Amino acid sequence: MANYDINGTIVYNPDYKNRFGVSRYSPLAAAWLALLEPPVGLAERDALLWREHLKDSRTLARHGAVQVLAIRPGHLAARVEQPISKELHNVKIIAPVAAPSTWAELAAHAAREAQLAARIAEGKLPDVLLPPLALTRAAVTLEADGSVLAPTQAPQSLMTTAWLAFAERIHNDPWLWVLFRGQTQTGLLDLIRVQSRERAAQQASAQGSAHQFKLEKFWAMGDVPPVSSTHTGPPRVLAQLSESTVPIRVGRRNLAQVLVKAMRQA
Amino acid sequence: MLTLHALWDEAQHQLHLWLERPPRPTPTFKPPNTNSNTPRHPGARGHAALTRAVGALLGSSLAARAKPAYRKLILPTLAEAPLSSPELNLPPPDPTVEQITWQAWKIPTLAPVNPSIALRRLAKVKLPQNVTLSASAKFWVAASQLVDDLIARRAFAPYAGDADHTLLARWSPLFDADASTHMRALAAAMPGVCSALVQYRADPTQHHAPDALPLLGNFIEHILDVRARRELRPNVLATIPENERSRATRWLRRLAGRADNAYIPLISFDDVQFGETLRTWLTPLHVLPAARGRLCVQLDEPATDSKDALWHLSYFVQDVDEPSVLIPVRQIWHQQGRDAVIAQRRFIDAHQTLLAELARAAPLCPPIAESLTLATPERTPLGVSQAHEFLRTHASALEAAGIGVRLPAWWREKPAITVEIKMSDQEAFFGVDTLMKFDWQAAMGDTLISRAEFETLSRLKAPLARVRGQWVEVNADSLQRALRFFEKHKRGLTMSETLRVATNGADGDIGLNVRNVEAKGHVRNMLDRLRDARQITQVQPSKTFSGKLRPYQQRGLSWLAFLSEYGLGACLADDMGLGKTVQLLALAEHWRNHDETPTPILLICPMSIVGNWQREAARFAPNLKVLVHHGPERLAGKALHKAARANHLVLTTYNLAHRDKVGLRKIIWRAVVLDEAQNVKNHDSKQAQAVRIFKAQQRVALTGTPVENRLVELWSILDFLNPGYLGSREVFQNRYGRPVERGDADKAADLRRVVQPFVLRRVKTDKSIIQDLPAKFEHTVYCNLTREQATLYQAVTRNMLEQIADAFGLARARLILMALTKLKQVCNHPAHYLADGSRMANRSGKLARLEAMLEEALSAGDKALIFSQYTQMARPLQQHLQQLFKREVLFLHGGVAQKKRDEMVWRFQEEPKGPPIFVLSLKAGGTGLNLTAANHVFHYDRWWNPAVENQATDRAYRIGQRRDVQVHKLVCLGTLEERIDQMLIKKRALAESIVGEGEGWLTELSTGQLRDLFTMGGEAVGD
Repeated sequence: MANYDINGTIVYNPDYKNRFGVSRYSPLAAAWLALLEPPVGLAERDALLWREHLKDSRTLARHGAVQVLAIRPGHLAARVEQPISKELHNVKIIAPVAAPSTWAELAAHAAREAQLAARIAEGKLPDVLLPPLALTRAAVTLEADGSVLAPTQAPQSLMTTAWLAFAERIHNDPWLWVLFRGQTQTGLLDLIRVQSRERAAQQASAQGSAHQFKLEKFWAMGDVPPVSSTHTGPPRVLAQLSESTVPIRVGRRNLAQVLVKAMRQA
Repeated sequence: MLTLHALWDEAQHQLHLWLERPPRPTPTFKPPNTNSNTPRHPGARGHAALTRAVGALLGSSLAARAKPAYRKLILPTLAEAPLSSPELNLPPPDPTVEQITWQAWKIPTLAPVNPSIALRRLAKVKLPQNVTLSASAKFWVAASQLVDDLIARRAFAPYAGDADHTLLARWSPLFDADASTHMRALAAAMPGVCSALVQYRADPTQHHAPDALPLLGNFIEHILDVRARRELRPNVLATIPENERSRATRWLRRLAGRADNAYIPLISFDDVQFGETLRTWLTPLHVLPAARGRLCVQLDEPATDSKDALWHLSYFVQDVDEPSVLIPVRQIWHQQGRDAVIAQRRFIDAHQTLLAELARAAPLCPPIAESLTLATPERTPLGVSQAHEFLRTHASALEAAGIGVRLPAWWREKPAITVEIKMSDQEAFFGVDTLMKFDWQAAMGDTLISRAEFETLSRLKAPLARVRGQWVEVNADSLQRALRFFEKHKRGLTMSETLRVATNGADGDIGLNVRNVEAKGHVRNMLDRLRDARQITQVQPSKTFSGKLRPYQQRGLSWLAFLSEYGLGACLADDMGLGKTVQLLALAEHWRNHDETPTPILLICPMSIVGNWQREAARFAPNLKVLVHHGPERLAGKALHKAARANHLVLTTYNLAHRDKVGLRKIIWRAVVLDEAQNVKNHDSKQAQAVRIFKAQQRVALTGTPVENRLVELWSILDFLNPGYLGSREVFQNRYGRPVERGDADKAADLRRVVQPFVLRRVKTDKSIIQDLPAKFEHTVYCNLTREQATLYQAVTRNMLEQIADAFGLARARLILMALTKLKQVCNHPAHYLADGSRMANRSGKLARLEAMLEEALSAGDKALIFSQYTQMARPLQQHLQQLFKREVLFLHGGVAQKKRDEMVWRFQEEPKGPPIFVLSLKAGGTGLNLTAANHVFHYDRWWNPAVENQATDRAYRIGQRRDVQVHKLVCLGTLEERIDQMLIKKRALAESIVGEGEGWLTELSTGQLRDLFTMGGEAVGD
């Protein structure tokens, strides 16, 4: 579950597991809700009503109302049980994945300071990376049992329930939000590595002459130990080749035998 | 003078040779190609001269077939001219960094067709006087020798490549551990000029050379392929049947052919399948081992001696399985893929691993955390204080977290600043206050440092300093303390101080470790023998001594005699029963026979063993005149003085030592001997104060338990023996007492070293000391309470818990101690608790068990001692046992007169059909008696300190005992007796220092803890 450490990183903290939304006004819940409310149009709703709504939805989500929850890039699909009728409804929340340029910018941002990249490598999600990944209601398509809600329509409680279940999941693993927005931790690290390489080249270039200037090292050779091998006995490679077989023949012999003979005779 | 250079062009796989001469005096040259912006190197010879020179050196045909070319090199440039290589021996320009620029210079080169042959010839060339080989040429020769080694060891194999539509037929090196190590060393030695070709750089105006390793790898790959083809060609071709035209023979022919004809296009499906088969077979030979990397940080010393020079913490990725493989993180930051292929290893997810490792290290080392604000940190600068903090604190934290740490070797070795003391020889000295002159010399490791350097270091603010090229940790406070010590003692050191210094016990005074105390003559002899008792001259017991000393006892006598020679106090701390008495009597006889004018010895001991001393003296030293200073008729004043002088040994008790101290201090004693010296363990007691004022040539302490409860007791005894040797009590407590009691093993070892010259302790369990002492078997005998006992026990517990719930302070402590006594009484016997003189039989589980065991012992003809701390229990017990067994039972308590006491001991020991059972009060009978006739010892109730119980047991388990001794400790199940017994077992090792002798510690327990301790368990009642 997510928690903010002093450096503003969303990290997994077992103490808070399954406690998402226990208090809407805690800094943690507030941070998540600020990220998660707008896409489903909850941010504009009356705070008092929302509190009740959240409570009900959380109860539903916790008591198994969300029976299936599938997350993949740009796509959230849930099967939610209606509390009274017990009917099952299919809910989909669809959002465009973040553009490659957004990920490139995020990677560039993270590569600017090794501490950000290091946190990501550790499995933590620095919160400075979240704003560029935020969504608006207009960008999100809400769909229940095949019918799409107009952008101005308030979400149904089924959607809120599904969304809350999702929120709770990403509370436990912040990287699910990154997945929803179209990227993985490893993918992001790959992008950061590319950026790091460029920065390393720039840094080396900037430090260049002052850092490496050593006239004596330029012209002189360091100490070279004499070539001495501690390995005795027959060459290992000949043994490896002898013990192997390959379905390739040269005349009546196997290719392995041919090569061993050639190398040994010499 | 000419210099021949060599370059490796990794793109063309070409070796380029060029010739340099001193530049012409005036730069009249012009670039030959005006279209080029790159100026021609003014010292580089043209193609014609180069060809002539190469022809003369390596052969004319090689030179003739070589290809003339131009190459651009980035060279250090000063005042628009390239700096000449040092091999030309021109006066050095000595530029500053700012004056140097890096520029591209065009150079005419000659590329031999076969670089392998050119290098072999270069390796053997005899140079004329006017030609030298540059470092670059020597380097590539060395690299080609590594190839020769790989070829000779057959460390190569065919390689089929991994391109989709092409099959490769070439030979590729296989780097084993030896070759990898050599290659890394070679790459580290590569001169910068080897990688100065322009095409290696994105920006030719900057000089940041590419990594040496890939360039060297490229060279080795190519040269090995060329040489392997040349060497194996006849053999490979000989294996191919003449008329066979298969894919395999085609590949083999290419493998034996020219290196530049190694590619075979894969056109048909069968071609591709053949290629796949071949690769699948060959790939395992070339697969690089996967390496697990971890972060490793290395502390680098400053390059200069400037006090502001910075230290650096450099980051590496280290192969976990081969820690000598260290990859600078720069290579990871520059890597292309997820895995990094470096040093013939594949580091999986190298970039991510490095980042995660840095994240792990950051909280443990603030300088690392600070460096992470950079994008690709490679190292971080440290001030000297930061470097010291890293060495002291962060390094171990990182190591504990599994992060590699490389520290300078000197830190691991810690060349501390030490001092050497040189004592002047002294003709005669006696006693611990003798003043001796000395000189001192400081050293760092094995390097001596002058007084001036020492004083400079003592004024340093930095915690690390370089002294004569060697870094050292400096504690200015310690150095200043040492200076103050030597200033204060410039007149000399007392014997006591010298000994402390010699045993390193003075580090607290001097502030530094004393590496050696150099002494000559008498002083050296004495110090050597003090430090190693084996060097002490053996003293034979006098002929008038009628006993026969065992070897270890003779060593004890020699040791005592040696210390007395110098007036030094001695503590003989042998285990009970090892014969301290006999050793002291032998010493007394030795003195009596060797002293010119014998003076009396004052021996102070508990009242209960005065008789024992008398008897033993009469037995072993019949010529020793003994005076017992005891009883209302004892002498005083001049009469005492006269009587003492007429005797050799004056026996008295601790009580009288205090009461008669005025009279006793007027006599100059040969020695003051304290038997059972633990009686002076309390330094503030009147007895301890009294014995200190007696005048004697030597002081001796005899005790089997020099430390009963706290280390300060040892200090008290040592301070009596050699006043001031261990410093004041407070100093001792701070330096040793508290740290050792907290479990500081180093301080315990220090203390052992310091006291070792004056304390001789041998234990019975040491088979090298004593071989003929029978075994001792200790049993805890569990007994049940009777119903009556259980009822009483519960009532007492309930009552106590109710009362202490409302009490506090001293009142609470008093209540707890009272309750404790009552519970122990109940466990012993209801009559003991009720104190009503009621009947003994059939009312106590413990007594019933004792009766049964005694019956068995008596029927076997054994004798038994029974100890109880309560006279009120012991007396009825004696009477009851006497009635029960119809045999006389002895009873010794504090009120028994000396004469009667001696008679009891004699009867128990010697009388043929004497009393078989001896009941003793723990306090009166626990020490000083020799009761080896018993082979059973019963502890009827438990005392809190195992040492006291052991002392009592040792009345029977001592020299003279011929049978195994059975020790029975009676404990009531489910009661506080059992719980305390368990605590004693658990804490046996530390019992002497943790569990106090008394019961005061119990009063500090909480009510809850007391409830747990006292409440009766269900298993307590037996019937």
